[in-house]
Amino acid sequence: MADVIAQNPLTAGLSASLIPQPCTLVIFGGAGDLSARKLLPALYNLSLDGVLPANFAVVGFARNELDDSSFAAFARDGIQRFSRRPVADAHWAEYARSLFYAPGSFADPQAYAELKRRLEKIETEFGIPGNRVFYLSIPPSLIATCVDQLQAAGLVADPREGPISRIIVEKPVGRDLASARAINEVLARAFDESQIFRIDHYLGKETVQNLLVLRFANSVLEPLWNSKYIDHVQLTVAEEEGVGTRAGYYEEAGACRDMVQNHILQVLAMIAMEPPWSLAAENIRDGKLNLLRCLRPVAGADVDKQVVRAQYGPGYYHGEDVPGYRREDGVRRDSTTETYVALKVLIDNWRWAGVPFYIRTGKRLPKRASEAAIYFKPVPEILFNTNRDELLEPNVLTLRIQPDEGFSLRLSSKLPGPKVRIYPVKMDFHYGATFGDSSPEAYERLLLDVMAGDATLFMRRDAVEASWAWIGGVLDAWEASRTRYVPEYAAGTWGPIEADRLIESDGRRWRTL
Amino acid sequence: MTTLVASESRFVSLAAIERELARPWQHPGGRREEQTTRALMGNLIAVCRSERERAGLEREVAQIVPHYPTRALLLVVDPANQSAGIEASIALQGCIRGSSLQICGELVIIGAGGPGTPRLASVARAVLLGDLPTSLWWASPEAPPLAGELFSQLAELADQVIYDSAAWADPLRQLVVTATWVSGSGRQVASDLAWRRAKLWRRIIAQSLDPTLAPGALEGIEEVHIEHGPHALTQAWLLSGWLALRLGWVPRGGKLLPGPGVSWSFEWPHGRPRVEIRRHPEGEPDIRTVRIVTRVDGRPVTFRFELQAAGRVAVSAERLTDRARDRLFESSVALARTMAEAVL
Repeated sequence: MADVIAQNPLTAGLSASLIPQPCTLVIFGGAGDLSARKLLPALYNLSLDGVLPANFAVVGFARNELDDSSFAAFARDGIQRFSRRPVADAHWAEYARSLFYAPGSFADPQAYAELKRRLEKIETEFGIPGNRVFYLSIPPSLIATCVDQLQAAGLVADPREGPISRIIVEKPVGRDLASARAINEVLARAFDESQIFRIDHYLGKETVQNLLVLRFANSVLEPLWNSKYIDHVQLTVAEEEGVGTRAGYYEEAGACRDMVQNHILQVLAMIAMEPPWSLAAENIRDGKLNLLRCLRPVAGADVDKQVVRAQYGPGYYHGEDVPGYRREDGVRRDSTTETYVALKVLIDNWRWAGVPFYIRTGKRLPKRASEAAIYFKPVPEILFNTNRDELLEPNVLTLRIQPDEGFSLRLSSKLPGPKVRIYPVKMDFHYGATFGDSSPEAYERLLLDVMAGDATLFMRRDAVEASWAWIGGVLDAWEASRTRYVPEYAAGTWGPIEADRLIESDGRRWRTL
Repeated sequence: MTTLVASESRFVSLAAIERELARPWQHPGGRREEQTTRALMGNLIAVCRSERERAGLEREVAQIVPHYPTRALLLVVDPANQSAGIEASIALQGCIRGSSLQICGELVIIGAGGPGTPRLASVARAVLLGDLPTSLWWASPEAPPLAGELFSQLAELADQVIYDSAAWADPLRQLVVTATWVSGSGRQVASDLAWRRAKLWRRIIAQSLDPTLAPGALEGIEEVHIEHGPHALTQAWLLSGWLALRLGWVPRGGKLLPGPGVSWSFEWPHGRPRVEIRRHPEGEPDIRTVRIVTRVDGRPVTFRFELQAAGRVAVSAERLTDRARDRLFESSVALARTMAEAVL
């Protein structure tokens, strides 16, 4: 009897990366804002690049009364407005051919039965072997309904056999630990953890993906990546925009839930995690989880010492008057929802003992900027660093997540001339300037990863719950304080004076971005 | 071979400034060997009060850029203009090296009338490049602290505040106000270009009266005569303050002289030196001559110095790269304030 082939000999010479499987992507809330701004443009760009599976279709599923052609028009409009590349007429017909729409209420079993029939027909037409990816671009309150209906309609396949069924859930998963667990339980009723992709688009940004490359593919950095050489780290996620049309969501969430619990803690975990022993998704996710478990709890009286929250007041945005948060449409006049939060975080492990991670995020700040800045310890106060009035500025490695993705390293250099004068210089790397083409949008990479079954850049259940458990200490303390006063900062400024005091009390300053 | 080039300035919306400035070097296009690069050492916020001042300041900034590649934000705040709108224009300055273009100056000109003034700081915050030293150049002929909220807000963004007391209309009063601000300026380093321009004077006086070359010359100083052009009173005043400070002279009193001029008497263990400052009706706003009457080895000697001071552009460019706190300046300003208060 011939030996069984244990390893596929046909993969020799091919890329080791996972290959997107032929599938149908069903977008719940397909006629919504995220779909128009991000998902459909991302799929279009993937299509232009020829990296989508050959057998692929998109089905928009929502209550809106659209048909296939009006959904295609909706997609084209979104792509024209938000895609990094314009609509190419030569390619459009090919892309639009794969767009379908199924109207229906998320709570109506009939709609799911109809969706199933439609999917089967499309799969036959496109030669798709029953693989389905469900993207829940819907409010968290509807997740349970949709998951239960999907299961009841027989749309979820067993992960151990048959075609692929995967589900994508948008952040935030829940609004606290209890609700996150509840959502995770709902998902687990119908899907195996390997089928669940909790998406946080920040993790699809080139710079975030590059974090692991930067740390573990360059011999100069990793030996310095610890408390012996690093003084502190600053993580900033600054938004220019106000609450806009999202007041309903934001009033319930606030900056801490909206940004810190997910984006920022995930980036922090990638910066600070121990080296994984392989690049397998589970190893990296284990590494991040271990880091999250090392965060020193901030709760009770420590919250006032280590956390600052604030709301934007009236001010200026690009020279125009803008109202304060409490004057925005849909916001309660006595709201205490924070639009800004600054935290000092400590990591209780061997590598990071005593190194503070300062985090700040807010709306209506002077510019849109997300970055992580690693401050190295200063050189000793000898040789070039003897002037106590003008100590040398420390080396800083800055990882720009958006906009203008890239990184820079600040060094001290001698100014040209006969005298020894030291000046800080920046060595700058810009993705756009170096690699030419604009970087793919985060959603492009992430959607492709789901189709390929690569969960590296997605949040695992235990990590989501660990994040909520940690941030819960802060949220509980705020809840218990029942304060009616939240400090204000003028729109268009870098935040409240209280946040300056938070870092200045440690003898440090926030970076100017 | 390096060739300097500059683009025409063009109007842009405030929201588009960053995008437009980044366009040439971030999305260069063209052939690989025709790379566009950017050299930048810092941010410069320069503030003036009228279109007339703007032309001169723009010229000076353009001359500084080759020495100090910078993103310059030129704020033209005209209180006489009652428009609430804010206008922005941008221009690039660079040099061609071989087939490569290196951008070394990004000039953003923001024009605002009186009602638009409160909005300017928010525009500056959005336009400044992060993680680079920022200098505020208060190029308006008024002491910075008298400019009110706009100055406070812009100074917050800066590591260094540069001003030129040579242009002040009421120098002694403005010196008192500024000295108070300098003493409490915290992390911002204060720099008066008039003081920096006097550096050569300090050096030549220090070297000429050095005890190894001229024994007893310092102890023997009886009279110091400083003559200056219009608008250079504070420079002369600061030079006197420096001399008194370094030699430990204690001011005894001062009086205004017809002419116009100021006379000062000091006291120290070696005698009662006198300083007389006189203004020439015409000429550059700088010290013209310094005459020191003293004794060397017991013999009467008069040192007479005449110098061509460094230009404002050269001094500004030097100051932008040398951001160290100048304790000597701060002490000299403090003493000059004491002297000014006595005659006011």
